[in-house]
Amino acid sequence: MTAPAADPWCCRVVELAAWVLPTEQRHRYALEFIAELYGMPRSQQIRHSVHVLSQAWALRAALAETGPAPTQEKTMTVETSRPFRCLLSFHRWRWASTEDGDRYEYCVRCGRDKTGTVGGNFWKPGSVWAR
Amino acid sequence: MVETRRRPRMTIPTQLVLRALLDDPARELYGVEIGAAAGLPSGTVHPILARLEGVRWLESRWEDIDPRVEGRPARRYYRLTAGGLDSARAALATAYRPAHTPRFRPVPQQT
Repeated sequence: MTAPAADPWCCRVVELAAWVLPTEQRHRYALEFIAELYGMPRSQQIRHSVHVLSQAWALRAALAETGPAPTQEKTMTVETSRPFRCLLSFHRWRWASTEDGDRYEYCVRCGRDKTGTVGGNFWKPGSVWAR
Repeated sequence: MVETRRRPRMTIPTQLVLRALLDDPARELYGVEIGAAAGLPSGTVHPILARLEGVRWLESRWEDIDPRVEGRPARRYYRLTAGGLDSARAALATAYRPAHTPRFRPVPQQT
């Protein structure tokens, strides 16, 4: 049985908490906070995310006080390379055309198109991913 | 190894977090588990963990899983370092404890 998924609104709240952190720590903590939401009932996710948000400035102060934490390894999820503003769903949409003339919008930062597919048109013949 | 960083403030929540981690030093815990073991409200332990990690008492790593298989992202797991284990024990031994420690969690029943 899979763990209950994270509530999208709770994800936004913890991403907002990560937003106040120093730039170099922001991404790590956003991923960490979101990962912790999985497996919790929704009511607990709400409590947890509010607590995380309430402690965001304390965490910022702690990080500033002790300096950056050691980063021994890169994160392992595929989505970690997504820009932070895209994690918050603040995409930069641009119109583009497919080879057969269809119009679609995609994010110039992360490649997501408005159908919700990450990576844009990676399935199309001739793209990097299709080779 | 020479300890170049200063000791964290031994507040009551910091002591509770250290005691939770010292219960089984070999076991890795993620933030929610640490909060639950320490009896602190969920989501409030990260500033403490960041301070302890900053002074090298803790180390953390990403969980080694395939998120697609598990259906969730990898968690960040924390555990005491070898130096942190000794430092934490020494710090807790000399830490201030008020006569009436606030009850952040129910006192377990003695059997």
